[in-house]
Amino acid sequence: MLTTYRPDRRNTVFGLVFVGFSALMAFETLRKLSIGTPANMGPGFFPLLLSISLCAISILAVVFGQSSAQKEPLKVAPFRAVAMVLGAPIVFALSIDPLGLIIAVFLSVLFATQASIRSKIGESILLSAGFSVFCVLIFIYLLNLPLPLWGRLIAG
Amino acid sequence: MDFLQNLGLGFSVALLPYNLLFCFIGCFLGTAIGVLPGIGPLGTIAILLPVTFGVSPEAALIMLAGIYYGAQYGGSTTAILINLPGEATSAVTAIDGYQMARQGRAGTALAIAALGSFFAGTVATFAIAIFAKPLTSLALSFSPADYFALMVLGLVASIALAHGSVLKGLAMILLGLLLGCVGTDSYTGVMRFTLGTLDLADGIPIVAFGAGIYALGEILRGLEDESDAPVTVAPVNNRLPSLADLKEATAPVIRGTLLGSVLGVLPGGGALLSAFTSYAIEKKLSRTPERFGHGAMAGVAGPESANNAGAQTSFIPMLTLGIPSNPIMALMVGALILQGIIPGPNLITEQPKLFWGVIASMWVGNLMLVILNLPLIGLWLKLLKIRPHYLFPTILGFSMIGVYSISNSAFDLYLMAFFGAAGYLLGKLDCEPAPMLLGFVLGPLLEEYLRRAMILADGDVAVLIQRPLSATLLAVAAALLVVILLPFIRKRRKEVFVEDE
Repeated sequence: MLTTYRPDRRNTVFGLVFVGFSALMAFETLRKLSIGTPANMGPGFFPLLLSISLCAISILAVVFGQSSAQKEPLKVAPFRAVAMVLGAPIVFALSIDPLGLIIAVFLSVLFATQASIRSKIGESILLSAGFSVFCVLIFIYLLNLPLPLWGRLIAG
Repeated sequence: MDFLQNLGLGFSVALLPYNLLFCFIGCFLGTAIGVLPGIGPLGTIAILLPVTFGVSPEAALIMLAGIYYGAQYGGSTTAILINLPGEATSAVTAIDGYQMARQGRAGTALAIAALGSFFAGTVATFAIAIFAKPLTSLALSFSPADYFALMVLGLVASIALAHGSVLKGLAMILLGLLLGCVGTDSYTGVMRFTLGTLDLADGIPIVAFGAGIYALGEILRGLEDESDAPVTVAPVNNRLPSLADLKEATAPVIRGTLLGSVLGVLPGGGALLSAFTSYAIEKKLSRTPERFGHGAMAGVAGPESANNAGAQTSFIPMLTLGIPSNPIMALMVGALILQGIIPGPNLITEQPKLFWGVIASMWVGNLMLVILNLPLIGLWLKLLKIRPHYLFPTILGFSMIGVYSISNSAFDLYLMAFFGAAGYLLGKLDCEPAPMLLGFVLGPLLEEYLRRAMILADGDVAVLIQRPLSATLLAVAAALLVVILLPFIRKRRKEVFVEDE
């Protein structure tokens, strides 16, 4: 049976991402790092070898990829979930230095709870507050980790 | 009987009350996270890594090891009772274990899984004790070319039995190796791909990388579909396996144990590879292969033994060669380095208490796990009653604290978010993260040994195939690659793993 090559969207995106990334890495390597010789490899030798191989393998993977008919339908998390889950570490990062552990945990966990359509705001506040107190007890008082309890804005 | 003396020393360390306590904590936590979907041993060990700084090296490693093999026990419980593998390795157990539970044989399946794991754990403990010393002396004679070839074989093996496209698996390895290049070049001190920031001078922190890809990725997958799928827990009858059941399970358990013990040693091997291979082999050897997928006991007994044996013997390359064979072992290396101990062939002579204590603790831990798991199964199932939308924010909270506390750096959290997004996208492109993580871990070592080998051989690539050991290892890797790339085999692989789902 003759099979015609049907480009599949997922494979196309895969090809674009991987070929693009390997080309970028190869370009960066050639621009900034010395390659050296096999006997005396420079910092750029191994990365160049890898990015060329990655580019070649990615092209092969696209060419020999399965058609989408064989795959499961694509399921993606709703935008709200993606934004809240990926946003939580950013909220933590922004608040830990100025506000300290207890507030950073509270804010970021509260932020994360909003990823679910099932969360109710009252419950979420209780959960986040309880969890941040629990974490402070565990990590600061029990385990003595050198984490800032209050940040620079509060403790001065 | 040298190894018996060594084991004796090990037990004298492992049975100290302080170490017993940490062994228990590790096994307890391991079971809990094995039961819970959304958090695995990698994430948990990452979170606890900074915590281990405060305890002795023995206790730290004993606890982290307990989490790893404890998760194998916990994962099988949910796989059997609700068809929900809490751990990737239990995905195989779910195929037949859940069918057994639906036929009213849940108690039997659970008991066989636990007893098989215990048997495997016992054998693997002795295997490590017997083979560790010879392997260490062998390791001292390894040349850089041999190390290089060994790691290449490990990387190839890591995709040999993974799901999906082999070529995408290879691409993920190369991507991981490239990400491993980020940071200061150890030979010249030149910064590579650091985007002009000092935060990346030491490379991408593995905890932020792993937590982003695994913890955030799992949470997002859980949020894809929040419909009310009622969790149906199969009733657990307390019927212990009959003599006939035990007889039926014996051969698969022994085969699984041996297979897991061997595959665990391979770099790139470990619990996952062992479980999948064991299932395929049991199905092939069975006189009634049509029962697989419909409650075949061998489909539970074999993989459950194999994953536990593999989880334990994967400590061998880390403890004897200093090469982490999977991302979890890489975190163990991280824990040792935090304590000022560099793992390698000298560990066994310089830190005999640590070395043998950790090995002996595995047997103690396995015993604890049988006790924790069989009678306390109801307690673990209660964990599943926690609603996911209360659970995932706390998992995320622990992960964020874990990532931050490694070096008190807010930058690591941005990286975590970035790799969470990247990992989720890669998953949607049918790329599995495991080979990438292994490539990331082995990348710097691979480059180091390649450069050393080339310097010694004055740039002659032939050195890689002139030494018998490295030539053999590379030949095996090449053969493996050819075999998995053959379309015929690809079709077979699909039959083994897909048709039962």
